[in-house]
Amino acid sequence: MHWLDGRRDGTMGVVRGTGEQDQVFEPGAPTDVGGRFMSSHAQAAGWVPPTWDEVVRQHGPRVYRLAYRLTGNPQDAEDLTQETFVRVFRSLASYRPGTFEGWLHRITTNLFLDLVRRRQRIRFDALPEDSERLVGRERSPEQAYLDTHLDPDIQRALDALPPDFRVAVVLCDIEGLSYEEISATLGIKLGTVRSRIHRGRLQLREALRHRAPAPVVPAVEPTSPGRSAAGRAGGNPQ
Amino acid sequence: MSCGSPHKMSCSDVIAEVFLFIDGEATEQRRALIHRHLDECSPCLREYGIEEEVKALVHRTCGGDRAPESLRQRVRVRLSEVVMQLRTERQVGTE
Repeated sequence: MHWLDGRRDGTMGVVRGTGEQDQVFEPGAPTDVGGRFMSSHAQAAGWVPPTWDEVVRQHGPRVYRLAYRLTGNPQDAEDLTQETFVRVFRSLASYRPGTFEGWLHRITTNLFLDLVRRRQRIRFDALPEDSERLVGRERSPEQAYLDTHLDPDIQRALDALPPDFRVAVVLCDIEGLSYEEISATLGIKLGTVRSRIHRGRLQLREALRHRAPAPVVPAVEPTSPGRSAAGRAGGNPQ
Repeated sequence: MSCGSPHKMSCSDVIAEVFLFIDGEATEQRRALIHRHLDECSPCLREYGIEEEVKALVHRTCGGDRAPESLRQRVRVRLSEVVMQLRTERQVGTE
């Protein structure tokens, strides 16, 4: 059995197990990794909170998947997953009732955007570009398998999107978040979400154009070139 | 008009908003208008099909990533480091 085959119902024990008041964790409560989330309400109710190991087991797959789609490679995805859990661990005190998953999304995407900005700065300063990545960890057979079997086209197309667009499209298309949830996750206006998704999709579509099924026999005579995919490609949406 | 027929909502409006329709983010009223337009206009229906396929493609190919076995262990080790760090910080703080 794979370690990631945990619960996938999208809830965390603390949130699901007891009343709403138990969603606020005590500051600095988790004192060791094997320890459990401690909440006086939960304890009073005789409820056993999940261990960190359980939290990582339950939410790791989702965080990793998002991280993979954002970063585009397994090494960065692992680093991002790790840092997300570290951030979660350190900032449990600031967690407020809401969905734990939404919180994880927010932390993952914010860390990703930080990472991108940092790298852009490094490139700008003309420092050697992330050299440890080149000689980095050996790829495990599993990673090698994934690397060769995941659709490279799609990932390349996603990678080519500006990070802000990529985040919006990934949250919408892969994570299935609504525009409002994306707006809350990224702290941006609904209109901004709309335009980023729209522009991101247009770019994706253009990048994936070669995969489009060959047009069936045209129903109408090709008298309106502006209507074809190619004709619209360079168009600026509003 | 791409198909030559008059529509209540113009083709360009439909093309501009079809992504909202696909994402389930169009208002009830716009949704009905777009739906009706797509029933009547095959070029727009094709555009809609392409947009929907792009979304589905991204979802399909990206949905099943699995984290490597070693990751959970790495996260565990990293969290242990953070715990040690926090303890040290607290000790320094109380001294």
